[in-house]
Amino acid sequence: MISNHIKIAWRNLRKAKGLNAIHIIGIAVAIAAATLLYLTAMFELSFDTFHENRDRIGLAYTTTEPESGLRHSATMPAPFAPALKAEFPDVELISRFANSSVILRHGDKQLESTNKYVDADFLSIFSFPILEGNAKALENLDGIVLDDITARNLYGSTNIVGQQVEIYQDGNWMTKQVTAVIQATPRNSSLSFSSLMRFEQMPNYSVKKEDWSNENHSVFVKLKNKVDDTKFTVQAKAFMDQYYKENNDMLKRDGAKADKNGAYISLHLLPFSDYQRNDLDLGRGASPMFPWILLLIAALILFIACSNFINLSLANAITRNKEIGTRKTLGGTTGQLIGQLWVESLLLCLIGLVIGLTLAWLILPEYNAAMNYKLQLKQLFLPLNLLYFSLAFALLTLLAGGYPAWRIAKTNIIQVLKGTVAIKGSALRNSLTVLQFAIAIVLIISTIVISAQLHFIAERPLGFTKTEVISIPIGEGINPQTALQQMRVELGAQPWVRHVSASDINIGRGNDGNMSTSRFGFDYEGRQVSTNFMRIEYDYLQTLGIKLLSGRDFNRSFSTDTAAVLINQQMAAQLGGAEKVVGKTLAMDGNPQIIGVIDDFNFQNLRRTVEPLTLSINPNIFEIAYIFVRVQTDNLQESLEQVNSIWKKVNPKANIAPSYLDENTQKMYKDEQRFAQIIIGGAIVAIVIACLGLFALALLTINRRIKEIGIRKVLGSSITQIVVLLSRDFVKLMVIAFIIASPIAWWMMNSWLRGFAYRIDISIWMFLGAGVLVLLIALATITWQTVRAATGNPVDSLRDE
Amino acid sequence: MIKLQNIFKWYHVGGTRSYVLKDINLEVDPGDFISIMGPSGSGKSTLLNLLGMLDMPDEGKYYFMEEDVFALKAKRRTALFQSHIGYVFQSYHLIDDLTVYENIETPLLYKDLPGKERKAIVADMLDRFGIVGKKDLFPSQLSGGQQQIVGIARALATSPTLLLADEPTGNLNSKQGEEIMQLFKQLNEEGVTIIQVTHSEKNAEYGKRTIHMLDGQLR
Repeated sequence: MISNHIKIAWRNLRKAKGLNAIHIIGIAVAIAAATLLYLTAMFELSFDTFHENRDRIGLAYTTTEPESGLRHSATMPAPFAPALKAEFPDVELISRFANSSVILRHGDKQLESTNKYVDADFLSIFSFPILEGNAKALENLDGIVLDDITARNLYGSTNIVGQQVEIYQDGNWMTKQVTAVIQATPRNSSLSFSSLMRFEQMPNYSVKKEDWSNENHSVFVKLKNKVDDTKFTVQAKAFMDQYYKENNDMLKRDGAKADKNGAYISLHLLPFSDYQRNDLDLGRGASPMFPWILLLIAALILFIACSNFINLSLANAITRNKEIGTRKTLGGTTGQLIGQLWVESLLLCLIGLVIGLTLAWLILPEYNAAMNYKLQLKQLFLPLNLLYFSLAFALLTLLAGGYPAWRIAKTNIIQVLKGTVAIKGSALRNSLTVLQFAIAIVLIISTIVISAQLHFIAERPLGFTKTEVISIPIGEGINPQTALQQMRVELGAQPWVRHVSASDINIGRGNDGNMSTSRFGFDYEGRQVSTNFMRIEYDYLQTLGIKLLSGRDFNRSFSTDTAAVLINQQMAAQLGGAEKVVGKTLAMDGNPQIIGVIDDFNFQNLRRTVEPLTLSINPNIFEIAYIFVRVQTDNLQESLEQVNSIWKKVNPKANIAPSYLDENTQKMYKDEQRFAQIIIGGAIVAIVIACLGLFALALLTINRRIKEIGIRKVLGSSITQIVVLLSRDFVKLMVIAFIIASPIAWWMMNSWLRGFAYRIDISIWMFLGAGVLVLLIALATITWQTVRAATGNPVDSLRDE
Repeated sequence: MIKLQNIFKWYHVGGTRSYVLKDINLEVDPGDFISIMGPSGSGKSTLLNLLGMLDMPDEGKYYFMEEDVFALKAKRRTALFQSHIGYVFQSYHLIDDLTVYENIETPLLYKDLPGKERKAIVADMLDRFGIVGKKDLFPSQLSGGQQQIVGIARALATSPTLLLADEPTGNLNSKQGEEIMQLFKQLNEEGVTIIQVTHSEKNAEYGKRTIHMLDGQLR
């Protein structure tokens, strides 16, 4: 029976080549797209899942609600973790986690390592696979844990526990002992590092040890039970009352809102499963919706392909009617007939699946390169994925093939044989077509809005010059101040270099990939004020082209300027207005005097409004980490290469390439661009598949009306009138789809845009543009057939009676 | 073999019943050869479809080999149909995409017969109707008479005890028609019960008795 089904199915497939090609292409493209999206989503959802007991791990953070709005902060002072562990019996393990980068040396081999300073518990909290040594490796204060890649690069082997390694930190070489080797952190780990050292080894640890006001690292805890944030916050209230009393009182004084427990500052735990993606701007802070949006788009694309299948099968059923009726008179049961039709759709889907997977396999390297992933098709063939896929596939074929089969098979034979029955699928068919195009329109509107917003961000004046400024990450291996001195000397001799300056924080995201902010809080005239803080160098304003509004810039001829600051307008407003603040002193380190007010510039990304900022050249507060070079050139690329070669001369160990600031600012929106690319890709796939379906549907429905068209022509209708008549039904469907899609798209895009402090307004032309575009594409799809039908000779269509 | 009791079938036309079949009572014995005659719209085909279990009446009872057909479950009814009834149509109703061989094989497939048995039966049919040479041709490659012969071969493949024919010669020329009727007569002599609907007096004469229908009633 089955072999007979397959034989017949194969014959039918070859007979209606055109229609089946549309079926298969639609399904193949949908499966290819869905596979890529599924793999991406699975990767995104797999973050940190390899940690055992991760439901017991949490990231500590404080929540406050000053007048400026709710604020979550996961940066903690050094004494916080020991105090919490001592006073909180529920905390089983705790570890601080601070970023740094160090140079490691063994013999003549030397490399830069992304290092984290952690506590002894770290390897027990998390489940990073340990290759050599054990989880107690960090109980040794002078121990260092390396990952296998670093170990191999330095020693050529991982069997190096007990070996000595030299590290360059804070201007000195020190010797540490390797106590364990772990596997390199996988790509789906949100914590990544190549070496671990004890927190106590951090530069200036002895100074910061008891300092509650210097917050510079995060803290992970492992509880005895599952993380329960609400319970934890209540339990931690006594702890906060004791250690954060001053903050609490200050917040209360300055008009902050208390939480439901009556505390102005409260301690929370972010479950580690939310570390990679959450809405609180903590941890990695990626959008929690992203993987689900991918899955949704995948499902929608499959749905569109599936609707095509159902629509075409139903429409095609009219020609199959007679055969099915005959088969019933020959004793075929409904079940047997559904079986046959199902085998046919299964065969089509199988061919589609094979082509689709091949397509996905072919595109994957491109996709990985464009999206910076390392996905592999073989990840699909995990037992669980295989199960999901087979289920989805069975459901798809059953739905796409089974439903029309069932509809045909259960119709009345007599009517079928007489040819008086029409499978009444038109309501379903129309709804499916409307849904398909509604989905396509939503995606197209989203594409337009997202592109407009990204364009807006790229073009928006940021308050500084980004085109002719090169930023050089200094990195390790050279004293930053020396580096700046030498660069000033070297570049000063070049006529095309206009200014050279430096700061501790980059603008945008440079090739080192780092972004950071420093914040300070202090009392000013009886109020708590907080400000972002940036350590800069002379000529910073000229280099970046930032406007000075009042007062003066830092000047080498004033020796007191190391104890002076520049502030931006936002900061000035906080202190009582730009006119009044120049000359005032701030209660920060060294009580600096305000010497000038500068224009606001976007030193952070455009998701945030410009925050208060204080600039200082005091060399004792922070070290500079980035050199900025303002060039004047007609050839940006050449200048970049020249700057790079001079930098290589100054710091031969430099391994991070300089980059222009406009490149850096664009890099901040990598996630948004990736999001946009996926939406655009999804929109294109959706519209292509929907149009394939529309094309075939038009082919079938117009063929059914050939006789009517002939009669109309005989009665004197013009070709245009007939084309309009035939197109009208489809246009109606498009209009309904547009009406359904618009509010959904508006709502979705509005909530997406709310994530940006600087955003475009959604305007009506974006909707109309998408609507008109879809309508044009749809009309273009059916025009060939309507015109062909309308220009046909009525004699031909009316003859066969 | 067949017993129809008080069969009614009607449609609603604007609130009043329009009868297609009205109080039909009929008995058919095994080995009978009945011709149903009557003008267009008199209910001949509807009656035949009822007998063939392809249609349902609104009222009345139908006993087929002592079984109350309309009280049976669909599955049992299909089984009854598969093993006892063969159907021949005016417009042949061969499946265009299947070869002659496959067309004849189809009802055997639905009866779930094993491949070997199917092969033997189909070969037998092809041989019996002299169409062995045409077994790999598609219906469109055959003449009308040849198509109807395939249709009959297909109907007989399951060795039914009852053969129902709805104007089997309607689309054929007189010579082809005569051949088909000769074939029917021969089949009847071999023991197959036949009920045919026909417009032609001449064809009706091949039957053992003729039933006349008018406005849904037997006369």
